[in-house]
Amino acid sequence: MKKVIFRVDDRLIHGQVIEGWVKYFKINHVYLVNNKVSGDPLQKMIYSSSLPPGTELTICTIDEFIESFGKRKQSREYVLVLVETVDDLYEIRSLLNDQIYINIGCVASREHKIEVSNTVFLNPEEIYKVCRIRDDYEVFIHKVPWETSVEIRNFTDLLEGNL
Amino acid sequence: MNFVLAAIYAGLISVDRFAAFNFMLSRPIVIGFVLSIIFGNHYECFYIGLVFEALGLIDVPFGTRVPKEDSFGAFAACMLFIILPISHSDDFILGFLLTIVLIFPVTFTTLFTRTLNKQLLQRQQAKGKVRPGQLLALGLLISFIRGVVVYSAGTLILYSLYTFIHGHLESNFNLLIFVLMVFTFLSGYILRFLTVHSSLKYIVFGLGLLVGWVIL
Amino acid sequence: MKNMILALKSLFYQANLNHENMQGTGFAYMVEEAAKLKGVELDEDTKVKETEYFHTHPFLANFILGMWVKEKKIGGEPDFYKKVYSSAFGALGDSFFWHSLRPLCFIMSALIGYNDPFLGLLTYLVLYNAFHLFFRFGGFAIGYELGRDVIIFFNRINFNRWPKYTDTLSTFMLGFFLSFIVKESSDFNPLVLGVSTVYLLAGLAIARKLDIVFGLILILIITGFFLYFTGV
Repeated sequence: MKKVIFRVDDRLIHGQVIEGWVKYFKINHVYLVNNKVSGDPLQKMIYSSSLPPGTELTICTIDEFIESFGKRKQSREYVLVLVETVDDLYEIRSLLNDQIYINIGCVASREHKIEVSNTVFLNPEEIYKVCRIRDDYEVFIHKVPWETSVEIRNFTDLLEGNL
Repeated sequence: MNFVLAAIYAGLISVDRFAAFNFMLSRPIVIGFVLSIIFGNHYECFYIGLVFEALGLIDVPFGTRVPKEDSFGAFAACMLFIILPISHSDDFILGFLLTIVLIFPVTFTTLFTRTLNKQLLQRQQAKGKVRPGQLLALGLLISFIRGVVVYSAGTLILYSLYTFIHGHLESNFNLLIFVLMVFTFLSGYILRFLTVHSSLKYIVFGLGLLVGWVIL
Repeated sequence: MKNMILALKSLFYQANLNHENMQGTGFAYMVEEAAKLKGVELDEDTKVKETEYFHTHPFLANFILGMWVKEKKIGGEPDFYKKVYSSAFGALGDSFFWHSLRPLCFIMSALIGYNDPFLGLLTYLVLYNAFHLFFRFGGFAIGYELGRDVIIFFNRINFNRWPKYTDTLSTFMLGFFLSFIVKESSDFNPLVLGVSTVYLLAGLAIARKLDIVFGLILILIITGFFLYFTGV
């Protein structure tokens, strides 16, 4: 597994993230990149309290993240970056590179969304954005590390809602 | 009478796993204890419970994941060892392997239960009136029936398959040593699963081994 | 008393678990009861809305329920915090109840129930459910009292540290239990001890590399051959 993991998850920090990723890879640093959470002290406290002790949590806005992440020191330890939506991932695409594992984990069903997998539902605009990211990098749908990941390859199928 | 009790308990296991209570009546070690209280065969049920507990323990049931049916594994394997007086190691291997194979289709029936629940919900949504109480009662019933039917049928299939293909190697090994060694191996998985800082983990574990060895 | 009945009803709230709204049906059922208990009127639209997607750790759902009713009563943002807390409590609950408490109860009950299944059964059920029922039965009142600040209760008891303490204790107890069953085994001999050590090390070495089911299949076959050829 690559050391830096970018994950789209509309539930941000929840059981799957902690049990499946943080504990499994012994991730030391989690970035929660979200403008709304970053501006709300209560939400910040709630998410900080749900991480296991010893795991550092940085909550920041998208702009702050873009500015700071590129400057961070290279480390051999695992880093998990959580964003809420595909739109947020698209906004930080300038930071992506081949050393980053891009993972869409959980995007809940809403009206007019297409079922991409049983936990990922995207609208056409989001699919378009995933496709643009996929032009340059591999993108996976991956719930937990020990389950099979699905690499998003076929855009025509994806736009039709199939994988 | 005991078999009827076991079948009712199978229904409760299914309900306890996902539908209601969560009292942990469905944990393999608990199943081993309960079945040994009903039928006797304490050590056999205990050791089988150990193995399937270790198998399911590291499979955390979060989110939409459907964990492997370790409960069925313990239930069916205990029942097999209760129904058939198995005393040869090749018999144990066959019994365990067949149980493990059957865990997969039984796990799949959990998915089927969830699909059925979804359809019931969607049907009420389409009618424009969702009655949560009614849906919960139906879900409970579905889960209970699933337990009774699937666990009993699974045990029956396991028994039939076992009696159909089991070999006749005349070796006289005992189950306890066999399972003890298998559980020791699985302990490595449990140890990896527990989240304690690496060096501390092995010190604490070693201390536990030592204390256990000296005291007992 | 009414809180107790609500908590008892919450034991059934997962019965319609499905991949569409997960525990949403159960939450809608509970919210109707809870609102009635606190004298909060719910319109039909709200009742329908609460059947939407909701998923958290079942033992901590009552905290969210209490918080939701309080927020509704004071005109806050019940649904917004319901979503936030469902994620956070999912993380906290899964870590403690599923990941950490189960191994501890398993080892303790196996140790105590080795010779007496009834005692073993009692140990598991009492130990596990003491924690389970404490949170299940206390959740609504605490959630209602603290409202959107219900996380304060979890911080006060350092709940996110509990899994670490429990896992440390489980690690010790696992070692203790292994020593116990190896020594208790009636057919114990130095060969079994040596092979058991190798087995433990093998399990540790391949735990992250090979799925446990395949590991188990492999070890069943190897052990069969070993016992067959050594005649242990």
